[in-house]
Amino acid sequence: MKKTIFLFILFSLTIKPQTPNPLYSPENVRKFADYLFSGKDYLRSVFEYEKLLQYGKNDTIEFKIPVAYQLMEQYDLALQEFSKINKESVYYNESEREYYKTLLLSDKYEELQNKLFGNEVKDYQRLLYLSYLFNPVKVPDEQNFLNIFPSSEKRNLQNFFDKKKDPPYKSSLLAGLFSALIPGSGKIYISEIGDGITAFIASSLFAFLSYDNFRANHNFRGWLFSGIGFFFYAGNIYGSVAAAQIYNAKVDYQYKEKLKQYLNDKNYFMERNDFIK
Amino acid sequence: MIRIILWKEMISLNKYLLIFVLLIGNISFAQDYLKQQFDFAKKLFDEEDYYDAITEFKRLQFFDTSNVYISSSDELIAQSYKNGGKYSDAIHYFTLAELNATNNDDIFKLKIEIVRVNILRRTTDNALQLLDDLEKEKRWTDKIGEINYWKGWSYIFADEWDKAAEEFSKISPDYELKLLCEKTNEEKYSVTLAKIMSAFLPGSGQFYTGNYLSGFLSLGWCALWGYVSVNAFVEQRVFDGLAVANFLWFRFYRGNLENAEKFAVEKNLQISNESLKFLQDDYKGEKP
Repeated sequence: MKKTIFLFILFSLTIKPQTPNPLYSPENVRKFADYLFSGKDYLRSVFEYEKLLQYGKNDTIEFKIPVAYQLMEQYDLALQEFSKINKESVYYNESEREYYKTLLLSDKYEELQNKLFGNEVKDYQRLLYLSYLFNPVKVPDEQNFLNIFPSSEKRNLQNFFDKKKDPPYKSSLLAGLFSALIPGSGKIYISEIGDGITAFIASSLFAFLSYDNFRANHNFRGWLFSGIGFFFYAGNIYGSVAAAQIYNAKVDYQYKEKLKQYLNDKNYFMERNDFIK
Repeated sequence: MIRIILWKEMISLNKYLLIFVLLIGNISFAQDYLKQQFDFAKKLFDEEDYYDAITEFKRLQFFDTSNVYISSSDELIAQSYKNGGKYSDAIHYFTLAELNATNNDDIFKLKIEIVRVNILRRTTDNALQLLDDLEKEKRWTDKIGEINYWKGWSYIFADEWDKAAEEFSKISPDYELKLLCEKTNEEKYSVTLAKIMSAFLPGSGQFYTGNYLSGFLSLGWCALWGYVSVNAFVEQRVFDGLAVANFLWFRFYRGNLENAEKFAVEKNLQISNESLKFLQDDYKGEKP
């Protein structure tokens, strides 16, 4: 009898129940989602986290989803998800901070300034002042700007601030005027020395050819070279104006890229979340 | 006394037996779930749902702590990335699969897969380097035909049809792809000849590639400015002649040479693309 019971128990232990695949249990989905997130496979991690939300509310997951969108540079989705996090969440403060950071990342400077103007929280004041460095119009007061940041970073920020306040632009009007007076000088003004010298030689040469042909009574060729010379001359003026505009756009682009890189390295002077480090 | 000892031994033996059965039961239980997961991911892969297939293979790898499915799942992840056009990711996973491969045939197959992805993403230098390495290794001497085959494909994608024909001819003198590569190579225009022709008679390089209007225009411009320049020299307006020759005659002459080269290159590209289209749509053999 004892033997039979023992064998029965032994046999019953080997029977496999028809249970769902444990790989899809909420606990394992969570582990897998965290693994994907830490491996920077953000899109897949979002899908996994969203599955977990079907089982109930979870503050961490609700916060990690928009963070993943932010890291994927899907800023509109990140803003949408951050704004869903309510005050009961333990991540409410962090999500609010990340929301404003996302506004800055997505170049929505005016919206950020409208929302943060007058806010006394230091993190938000920093974001507000940083947004002025990107904004094409507004420049904050220098002392107010620098005082809000750590003293170790003031030198770098002063540099960005100076470039924002007085960008090293070239005047397109001056470039055009210079080239109208002396062909090629507008290009030299915007540091395109080779182009400037070429334009000067070409314009002078056609002017001389025109003069030389009129002098030798070759009127047709005289007019022909005048026409070509004028074409070069006008083209050079137009080219100098356009080159100045391109130069200024390049200055803006480089400034913005360097600033973004710097702020990214500093995490926009905000505290990093443990799971993003 | 002896009975008591025997009874105790029995109990002890049963205990170990019980633990053993439980352990085996649990292991096979886990293996079953992993097998289920592998089958599910493979099904997604077969249905060409590559994004989800990758997710499920990654899930399998995450929970497969004993690495039973590591090589096969790496390979299928790589195939999914390849089919999705994510070639760098595909190479990464094929390399991982190769590291976990257990026999020579699998290693060779995975090395060839890496070559094929390199061919597709047009890093043909990498593909050729890998194939050269395979050729040098003694253990792959029986695979030389396959190595030559993929070398031929590498040269096709590098637009070197003559070298491709040479590689295919090593497999067989009348190999189908060898004949196609030879035909394509023969149909192509010589860029050097087009330039030389245009150097001697402006516009003739363009005639050679069938661009008659452009050929006539080049000839006309060069004749006009050549005449104006020579005329200026004849009338002893040397500076005038030099300026016209330099800024107009030579400008059009140089343009004529560049045009001849450009048209020959364009025509060759057209011919290559026709052959590639044939390979893509009608060729039945293995493709990268």
